Formats: sequence, structure tokens, C-alpha cells
Amino acid sequence: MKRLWFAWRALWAGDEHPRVMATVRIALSLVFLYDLLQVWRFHLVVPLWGPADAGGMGQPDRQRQVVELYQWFAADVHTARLAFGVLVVAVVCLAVGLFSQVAALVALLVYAQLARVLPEADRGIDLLIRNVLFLFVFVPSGRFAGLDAPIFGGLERIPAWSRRLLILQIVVMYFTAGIQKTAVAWWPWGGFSALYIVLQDMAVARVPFAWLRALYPATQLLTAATMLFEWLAVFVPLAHWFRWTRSRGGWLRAQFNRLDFVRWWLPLGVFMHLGIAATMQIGIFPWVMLALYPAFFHPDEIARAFRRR
Amino acid sequence: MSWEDVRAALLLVVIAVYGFAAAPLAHSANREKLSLPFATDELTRLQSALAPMGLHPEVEELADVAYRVSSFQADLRRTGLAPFQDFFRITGTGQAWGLFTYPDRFPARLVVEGRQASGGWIRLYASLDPDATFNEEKLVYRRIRGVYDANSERARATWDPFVSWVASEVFRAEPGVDAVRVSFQQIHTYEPWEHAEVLVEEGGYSARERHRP
Repeated sequence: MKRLWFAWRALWAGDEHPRVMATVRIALSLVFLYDLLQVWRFHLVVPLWGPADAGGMGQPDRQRQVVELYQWFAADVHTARLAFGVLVVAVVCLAVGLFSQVAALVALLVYAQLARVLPEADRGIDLLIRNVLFLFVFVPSGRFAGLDAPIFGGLERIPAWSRRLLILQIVVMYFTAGIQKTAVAWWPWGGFSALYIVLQDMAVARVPFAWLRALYPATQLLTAATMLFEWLAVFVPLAHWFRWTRSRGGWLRAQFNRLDFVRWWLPLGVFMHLGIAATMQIGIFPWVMLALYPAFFHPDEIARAFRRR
Repeated sequence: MSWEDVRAALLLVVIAVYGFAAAPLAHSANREKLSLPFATDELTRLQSALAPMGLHPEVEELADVAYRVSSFQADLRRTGLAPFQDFFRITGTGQAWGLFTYPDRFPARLVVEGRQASGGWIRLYASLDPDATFNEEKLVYRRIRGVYDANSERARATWDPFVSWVASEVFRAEPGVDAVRVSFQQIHTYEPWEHAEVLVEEGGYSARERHRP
């Protein structure tokens, strides 16, 4: 038991250069900011998050359990606009690394309130954004490539657990998405028809895809590839562990390291998300996912790659 | 106990709680939903998949089993996460990653129509209709789509406010329109060998009208 505990402790110990987490912070904030600017551009702040009398679709002031936002502040359009404004400022601060941890906390709490005002407008990707914001509350990522560096002093090392936890979050997302695909359409006995059917959904497809009828086998192949990609995610932590403990030897470890599993699994994910972005209208989902991908690389790997250039 | 022990212990708790939240357990169970077209279609296909294994349950039997399993899972999930619900609520964090779990063979198409002074109705917007693109950018925006998507099975509390919002947008931009109707059109998606057409329109539902104030 003691040995197990030491192994667990060692898994989360150590530190590393903050360049990867800073990259994720900036990339995620920019994508999120883009989405919030869409809300502003379309004049949707009040329709989405305003009170019932102002036309708010969520009717937050008439809900059985009124959200704290509308308990503590007046149920009017100013509250909705204030919350949105605070969220935008917090995300901008996170992007430029100014008081980054406080900014992440503020963005998290305000965004959680808005999510409860109108849950229908809050998608899975928003949940993921909040999970990552929660992580950034504990990571001084703004002290590298951020304005926190001149204020609080730059950092050359941050705890490595944050990036490892982020990898675990992404893996859990993919893997559980894979194992929950229990509809027959995702499986051989359902003819791998899932992608074909999804792309015919007019609420999702970017353009009419009736012509895919002629390319049905290709959609079947891509359905199978999607399932394979999501199910294989479970091996990513193992691959990282084997790479990390390279010196320990062992046949399985050697095979995994020789295969360099993550190096070919990751491009599959990039391809899948670019494919989703090109064919479906599901907003920032693919871009948020890709913004998190730098986490799969150790900061030293990125430094080495740049040095080689 | 060192700081490293404390950190490892905290991470253990976080991963255990969020890991349980991520477990593929049903969030809720609803027997009525299992009678909806997409669910019946799914169960029929499952019935066909079971036949080669010598299993021949009726669709209703499969629905009952699915309901019992889902109820058990939902109760287990609710009980296990009960102590952390306030934390999840305040932070808006959690784990729920059912992405296109059940591809819908009966998707709904949003249709917005406007009545002109002549009394005739014109189609202003319909998903992927190149001749009806009123406010398309807004209506396909993911958060707005989320609102009407959630109402496509049956009209919920957000359907009427959504229709009112659509109507206000139309009245502002189209002075010649004195009434707006928003509805869903049921579509049936077929695989290539099932039907000559990929998509077949099967009537409208959840229609609501708003008149210019």
C-alpha cells in the first residue's frame, strides 16, 4: 500500500517549464473570447441570459431555484450585461496573463451562473471550458508569456501535475464519449452508419450532405475511425507513463515507446476535429479541443522542436 | 505529512469524484422517451442485431429493460454525487461527454414563416434552405441552436420565449410581416438501401404564432 502511495505521489510530483500551460491558456482564452464576441455581435446577451420580462429565454427570475446572480442583483438587463462584461474582462485578463489565477476563478464562477440561467445554451464544450478554467485557478500560468511575469516575477518552472491532469481530462472526455456511443449505428451490427446519419441532420450539418449517399462506404470508414480514436484514448496515459519511465525496461514498455503511440493517435484527433469543423456547425467545439492539444507535449519536447528549426 | 502528500491526496479526491461523474451512467430515466420515434427505431435495430444470437425480445420488452437499467444507473449516480452537487452547481464543472451518442434518424428542421399583408405565408428561414436564410447566422449559432434543439422532442419552457425572440427579430427587420410562425418539420433520414431519398419530410409540429404588437 505504501509503495502504491509513493507511486501515486510521484505521478503528480515534479515541475516543468510553463510554456505548454501558457500556450493552452492563451489559445483557450482566445477561442472562448471569439465565442463571447459572437454573442455580443449578435446582440444575444439579453435574449440568452436576461430576465423573463426583457425576453430572456431562460426566464431565470421565474425558475424554481433562482440563480445567485439574480438573487444578489436586480432581475434586469443590467445584471445580464454586467455578468457578461465581467466574464469578457476576466477572459481577456486570462489571455494576457494578468492576474491569471484570479481571472480564471472569476470567469469560472460567472460562467457557471450564466450556464444555469439557460442550460440549453450551454453545451458539453462549455463544461469542458469550465473544467479547464478550474484547473487554471491553481496554475500560475500568467507568470510566463503573461503580464503576471513583470508584476509578480517570471517563472521558469511550474508544477507538472497541472498538465498531467489536463491530459487526463481530455482522455476521459474522449474515452467516455466513445464508450457511451452505444447506439447500433456506431457499431458493425448497425453498419457503421452513425456519421452518415449525423451529417444528414439539418441542425448540425454545414451544407446538405445528401450526396454522401454515393460515398456511403467512406462515411462508414470514418465512423469506425472515430470509434477507434475515442476508444484508444484510454492508452494515452499509459503511453505517457511508459515514455516517462523509459529506463525501467520491459517488453510492453519498449513496444509502446517504439510505436510512439501518442504521435500517431494525436494526428487522428486533429484530422477528426478539422473534419468536424469543416462539415458541422457546432461552433467552437473543435477549436477548443485543438487549443488543449499542446498539453500532450512535454515543454522540453517543444523547446527541442524549436531548437532543431 | 509533506506538501507532496497533501497534493497527492487532494488530486486523488478530485479524480475519484470527477471520475465517478464521468462514468457512463444514465443521468435520468424516462419511460415515455423510449416511445419516441428515434428510440423505437433504435430498439428495433437492436432487436435485429440480437436475432442472429438467438435472442428475440419484443421492442416493448427491450424498452422496459432499458428503463430499469437507466433508472438504476441514474439513482446510483445521483446518490454517489449528492455530497458534491453544490460544488458542481457553483463551479459549473462536471463530466458529461455523450457526444452524438444516438445519431438521430428523426431530426427536426426549424422553420420560420412570416405572414404578409396579403395574408399569404412566406418561408423566411428553414435549416439549410438556400431560399430561406433570414437571420441564418444567428439561428445556427451554437447557443441558439442549443435552445431550439432542446425543444425538438417536445416543447419545453424555453420554446415560447424562443419563438417570441424570433418573432421580435422578424418584426424589426421585415416591416411587411404582421405575423410569425415558428415550427419544426420532422425529417426521416434513410440509409442508401432503405429508401430512394435520403431525407423525407414528415409533417410539422410545435407550431407557435406571434402577431405584430
